[in-house]
Amino acid sequence: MRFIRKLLFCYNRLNTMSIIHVSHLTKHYTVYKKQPGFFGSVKSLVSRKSEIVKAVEDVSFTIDEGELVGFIGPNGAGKTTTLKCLSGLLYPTSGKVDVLDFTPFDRKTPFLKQIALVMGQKNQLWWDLPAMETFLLNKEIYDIPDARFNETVSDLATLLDAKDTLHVPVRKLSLGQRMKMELIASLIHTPKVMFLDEPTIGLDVVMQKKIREFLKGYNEKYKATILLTSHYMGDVEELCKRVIIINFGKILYDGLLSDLIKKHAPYKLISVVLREYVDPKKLESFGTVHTFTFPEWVIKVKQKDSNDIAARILKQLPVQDINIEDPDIEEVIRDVFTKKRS
Amino acid sequence: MSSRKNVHNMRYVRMFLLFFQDVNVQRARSFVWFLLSLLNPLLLLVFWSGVYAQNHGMLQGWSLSTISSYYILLIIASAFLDVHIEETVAILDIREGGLVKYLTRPFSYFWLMFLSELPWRVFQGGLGVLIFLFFALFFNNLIQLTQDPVIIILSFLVIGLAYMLSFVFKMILGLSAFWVTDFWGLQQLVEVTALSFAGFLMPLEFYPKILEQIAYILPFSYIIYFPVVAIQGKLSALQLFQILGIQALWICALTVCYRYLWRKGIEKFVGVGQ
Amino acid sequence: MRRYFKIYRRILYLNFVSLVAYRANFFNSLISSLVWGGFSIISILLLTNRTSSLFGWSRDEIILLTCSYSVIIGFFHVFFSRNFEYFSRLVDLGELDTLLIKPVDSQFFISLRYINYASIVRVIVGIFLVVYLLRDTEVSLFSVMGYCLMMFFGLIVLYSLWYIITSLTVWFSRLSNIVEFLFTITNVSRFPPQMYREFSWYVFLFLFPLTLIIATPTKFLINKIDFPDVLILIITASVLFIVSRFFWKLALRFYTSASS
Repeated sequence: MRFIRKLLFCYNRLNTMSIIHVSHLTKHYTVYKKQPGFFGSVKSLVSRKSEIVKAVEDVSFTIDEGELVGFIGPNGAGKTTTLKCLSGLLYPTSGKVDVLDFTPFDRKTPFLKQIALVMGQKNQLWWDLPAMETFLLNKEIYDIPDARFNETVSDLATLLDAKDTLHVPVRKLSLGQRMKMELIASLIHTPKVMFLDEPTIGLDVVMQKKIREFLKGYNEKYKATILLTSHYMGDVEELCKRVIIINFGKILYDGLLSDLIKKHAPYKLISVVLREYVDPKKLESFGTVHTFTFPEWVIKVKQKDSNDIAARILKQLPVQDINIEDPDIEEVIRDVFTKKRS
Repeated sequence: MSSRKNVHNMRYVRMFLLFFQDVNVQRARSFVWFLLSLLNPLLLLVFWSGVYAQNHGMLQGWSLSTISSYYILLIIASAFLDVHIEETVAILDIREGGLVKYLTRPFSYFWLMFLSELPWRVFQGGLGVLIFLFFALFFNNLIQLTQDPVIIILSFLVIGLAYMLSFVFKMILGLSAFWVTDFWGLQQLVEVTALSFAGFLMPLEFYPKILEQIAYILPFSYIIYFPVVAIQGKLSALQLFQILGIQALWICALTVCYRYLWRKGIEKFVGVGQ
Repeated sequence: MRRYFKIYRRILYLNFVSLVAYRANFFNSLISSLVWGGFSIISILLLTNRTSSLFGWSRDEIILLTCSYSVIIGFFHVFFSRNFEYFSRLVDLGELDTLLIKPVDSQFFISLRYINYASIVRVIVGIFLVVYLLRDTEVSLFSVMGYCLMMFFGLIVLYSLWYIITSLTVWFSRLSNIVEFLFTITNVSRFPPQMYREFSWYVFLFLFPLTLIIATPTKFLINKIDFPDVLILIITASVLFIVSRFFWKLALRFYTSASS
């Protein structure tokens, strides 16, 4: 069954046009180090130690039109660097990058008119004016005809539930509302390809959900190709069928998320808060003890057994609080490196 | 008892060294600030040498060497005595609330700011002295200083008090941010007034009488003009004592003012919250 | 291209609406402009108090120079100043990325994005004073046109010099105070070129483009037109502008290879 599914996947890939094609992308850059202290700064007048940081190392992948791909890895893995190379902001040290049949780094106008890059904290909205004014400026920059502009603004605002804040000065909006406006401003030209860098970072749970729903809706409605980076498992789970795991600049996994979980993290974590002290030896019978610092206790159990084991724990032990959690993505990735099986 | 005081004083020394490191790290930026102090006097020096080339001789008792040494010393005065702490106080600490972290510490805010500003001024003043030495070596005819040791000592006192005066004044200007909504507007106003009446443009003696009198009433001339003219030897010992007296009066008055404004300002700051 | 006209029209509009939203700021800028304008004129009056002529220019002509300076610096403040002040934030806060993603020439957008309407008052006062100083002189239409044209080229020289030096902040982001330094350098143009020539040939050569910015247009008004100077100003403006574009492309290349 799995074999047939894989065959279909490859067949699909061969047939549809790949919109993004990355081949042996490498990005290195030099960083200068200074020693701390007074004499360190005096020394740095004469000589500086430089170090080469290998942000991205021989990365290759292909993405088709309409795909929603998650690019995941811990901080400093090379996700943002890769995104910037794809959007033309960084000049690759070596390798070939093709997006929409353009070389991103050339930053040609027809290319830029079809892509969007949304990075967490960066803002482009004029602070004192309503967001709509910034949209109108972008309208001129992207050369969008009136009718299409009005339609897009209306659609996006509806999708994001932000119709009533379009004409409020940006400085009066809350962080969540501002994020929505930033998104609309970035998408006013209905790009074919969207790069998102940590789109839900710093947002509360409600906003995170809204943004995820929006992205899913946008992907379905406009058939836009979306590549997002995140270190939140939640983003990836809800949005991406396919994930690319990257760390230390190298790709560790490229495929379906469901396969990844099945292969590398077929477990769940049950965290329990005990009312009274229980002999640790007794706890081991339930599953692999992950951590135990009384009264908190976390065990690792197989995914399919998690509900049963949780029920047993509730019945047999003095439990004050119990919670079943997915493994943390950092752990999954760590497991991917060390090829752990549970 | 004395060892505790030593430790207490060592704190300030260590703070100073820390702040000095900061200047070292930002030495390029500091150098650019110095260029500001350097270029305006130089420009005016070029102007006056042209005027003197035409007039051949003295202008109101000032020879070419007197006026050129005025501007060269002005470089040092402008680099060392023109304190720039008001922006840090008004914007970083008051407007953006950074003041909070100082309120809970056992350091006097005034002296902490003093120690943080001093390295910058010393660094730039040092660069000014280098420029002065350059001129002294290669264009000796342009320099004219006093040789009288008494005058020199008194002049250094004038310089010292001028620095204190400059600092207290700018601290008060910074404190204005507690109440004034348009700090930058006020700061610009003060800057233009200082530029006009501190002697940055030309020796105050050359001003029309009314303007000259105003300049001697305002504190700015006691920060820049008089230190420069003192070192040049244009003032007698008696006059220098008078200057010192006026400077001391200004410092006392402004210190009282500062204490009062600080108290009132903190009340407001803490009461309103961040 | 038409698109750029439309973009700039929208920029003009946005800045105007911003101004209305923050009226207090506008009035402060207005007063600030007037104060600095007044200061520059009073300072030249004081400096030339005892002389009736200097460096081949009469006192009135030297004051005329400063008034022309007011006009040109007024225009500079209206269209460019805020953008140069904002420049250092581009690199520090990563806003340059947001800009480079857009299908618009980065130099165009960075240089013209913000407008300071309040500084127009400096232009108006400058023009008033110029007219007042020339009330007894015969000024032909040709002179006025020459004046305006030369001012335009002078503005280009100023802009290009500023842009080249401000681009350095891409490499040295700590030197954001270089903008203040540039204002000081601009002061050089307030004085007659002869002043520098008499002082030292090296200095004169070094500061040459700056000395032309205001002196050349002003010479049109006082009928002392110097055609070689006119040619040199036009050529300098063109060359410097091209250099500014080239240098900016260089800065962008550095930015895109070195940042993370």
